Amino acid sequence: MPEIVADNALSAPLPRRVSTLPWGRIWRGIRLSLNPVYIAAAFLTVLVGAAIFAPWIAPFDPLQGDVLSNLAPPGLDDSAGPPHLLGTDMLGRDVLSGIIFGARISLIVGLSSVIGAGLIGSALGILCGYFRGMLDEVLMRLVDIQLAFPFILLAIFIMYVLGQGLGNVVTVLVIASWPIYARIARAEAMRLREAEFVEAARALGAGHTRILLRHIAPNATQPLIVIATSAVPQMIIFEAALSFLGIGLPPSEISWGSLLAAGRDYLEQAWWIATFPGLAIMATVLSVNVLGNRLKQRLDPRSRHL
Amino acid sequence: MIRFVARRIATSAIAVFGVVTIIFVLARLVGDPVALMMQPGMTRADVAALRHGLGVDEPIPQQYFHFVIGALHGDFGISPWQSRPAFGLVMDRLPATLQLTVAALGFATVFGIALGTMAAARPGSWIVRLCDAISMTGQAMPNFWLALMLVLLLSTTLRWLPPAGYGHIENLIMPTLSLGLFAMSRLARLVQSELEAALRQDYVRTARAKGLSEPVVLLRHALANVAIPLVTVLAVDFGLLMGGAVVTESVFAWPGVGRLLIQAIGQRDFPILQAGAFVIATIVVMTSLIADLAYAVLDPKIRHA
Repeated sequence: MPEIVADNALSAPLPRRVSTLPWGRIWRGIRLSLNPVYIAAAFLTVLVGAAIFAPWIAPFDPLQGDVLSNLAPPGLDDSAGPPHLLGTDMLGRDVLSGIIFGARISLIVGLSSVIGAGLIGSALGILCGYFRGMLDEVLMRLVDIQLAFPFILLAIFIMYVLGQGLGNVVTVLVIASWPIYARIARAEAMRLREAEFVEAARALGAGHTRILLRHIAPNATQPLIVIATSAVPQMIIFEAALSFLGIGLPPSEISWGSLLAAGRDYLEQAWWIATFPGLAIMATVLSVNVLGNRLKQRLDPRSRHL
Repeated sequence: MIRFVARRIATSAIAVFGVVTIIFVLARLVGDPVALMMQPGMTRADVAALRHGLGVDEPIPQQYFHFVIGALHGDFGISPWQSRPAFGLVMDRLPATLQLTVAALGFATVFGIALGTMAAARPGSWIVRLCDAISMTGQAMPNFWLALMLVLLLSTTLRWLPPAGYGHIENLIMPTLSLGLFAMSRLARLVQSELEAALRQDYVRTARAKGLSEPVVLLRHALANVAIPLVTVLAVDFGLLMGGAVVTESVFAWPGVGRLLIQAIGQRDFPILQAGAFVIATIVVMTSLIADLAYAVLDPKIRHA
C-alpha cells in the first residue's frame, strides 16, 4: 500500500545537518497536533467550556441589544465600547455572545434527547427482542408507522401541540428518534438470547430480569453507543431546524437555530448574522462525527476501513 | 416469496393507516379551527352552523369514523379555508415537491457514486482525501444553513441565480444542492467503503486474473455487486429527503406539499393535514416497498429464500 511506503520514507534517518532547532521533532509535533481527532477534541472542549462559563466569557448580554450599534459588521472597531467580534444583529445584539449562550441550548438539547431516546428505545427494543410475541408485533408496527412519516414533519406537528419550549423540544426529539435505538437493541437481543452464555445462565436458574440486566443489556450496548454518538449532531441540527422554522424555542431562549433564522431576512445587509451560527453548528457536528468515527473504529475493527 | 410480498404490503398499509390516524389525533390536539374563523358580529347560531359545516361538532370517534369512510373512497373532505377538496389541493402541490426530491436524489446518486467510486479506485490518493473531506463537511452542514449560504453566494453576491421562486431550471439549482448534499456525502462514503470491501473479494481477484481491465473489474464486477444494498439506502434517503424538503421549501418559497402543510397546521386545516399525511406516508411506504421488492428480485439469495 502506498501510504506505508510514504511513512517509511519520512521516518528514514535524515542526513546530518547542523541546526540549532530540532526541526524533525517540531515538524512531527505539528503533524501530530494537526490530527483531526485532536482538533475535534480541542474544539469540543472549548465549546463545552464556553457553554458552562457562558455568563463570564460572553462579552455582551446576548438578549440585551444596543439599537445604536445594530447591524454592526464583524471587526475590532472599539470606538463605541468593546468590539463586536462577529458583528451584531438588527437589534444590536452581539452575535458572538449569542453563539456562546446558544452552545448551552444546543448541547443540552443534543445530549438529553439522545440520552432519553437511547434509554427508552433500547429498553423497549431489548424487551421486544427477548420476549417477542404480541409486544414485539405492536412495537414494530409502531416503528414502521414512524418511519413512514418524515421525522421533521412529525416533530413540527408535535411542537404545535405541545407549544414552544426547551423541555418540549427535547420531548419531541425523543418521540421522533426512539425507533432507531429500538430497532438495533431488538436485533441485538434476538441474537443474544440464543447465545450460549445466555443459555448457560438460564440453565443455572437465572430469571428473566437477571438475564436481561446482567447478560443481554451489557452485551448490546456497543452498537447502541455508536448510534447514539452519531445521533447527537443530528439532534443539534434538528433543534436548529425547528427553531429556524420558528416553532422550536421561544425568543427568550437563544439557540443557534434561532440566531440563524434571525439572519435570514438580512442576508443582503448583514451576512454575518446567519453565517456564524451556522459555522458553529457545522464545526460542532464535524467534531462529534470525527470523534464518533474514531470511537466506531476502536469498538469495531471490521469498520477500520470505513 | 408471495408470502413475503403479501406481508410486506400488509404492514405497509398498516403503517399508512397508522400515520393518518396519528395525524388525525394530533391535528385535533393542535386546536379548534372555528376559533380562528370566527368573525366579529357572528351569533351563537352562526358559530354552531360553522362548526356543523366543518363537521367538528360531532364527537371525535364519530369524526374519525366519517373520516376513515371518506378516505377509503378517496374523499378527504373540503378545506375550510380554500373551499376546495383537500386531496386535490395536496395533489396540486405534489409535483413541486417531487421535482425537488427527485432532483436532489438524482444529484446525490450521480455525484455520490462517482465520488465514491473514484476514491475506491485509487486507495491512498488525494481523491480519497477529497472524498473524505467532502463527505465529512457535507454531513455536518444543516441543509437550511447551506441554503442560506448558497443564496448569499450565488444570488446576493454573484447575482447568478434568483434567490427564490419556482418554474425555471435556475430556480431548481440551489434547492437541489442544499437538499441533496447531505445524502450525496453519505452515499459517497458508503459507496467508497462498500467498493473497497468488494475489491478484496475473490471474484474480483478472479476477474483480474482473467485479464479484465481495471475499469471493467471496478464497474461491471465490483460496483454491480454494491448496487444491490445501495437500492435500500436510496429508498431510505428518499424518505429523508421528503422530510428535508419541508425546510428547503420554506427557504426558497417553493410551492410544495411541505409549505402547504406548515400553513395548514397554523390554520388548523384538518382536511389538508390528513390528506397531506396520507399522500406523504403513501409515497414513503411505497418507495421502501418497491426497494425491498427490487432487492428481492436483484438478489437471488433472497428471491429463493
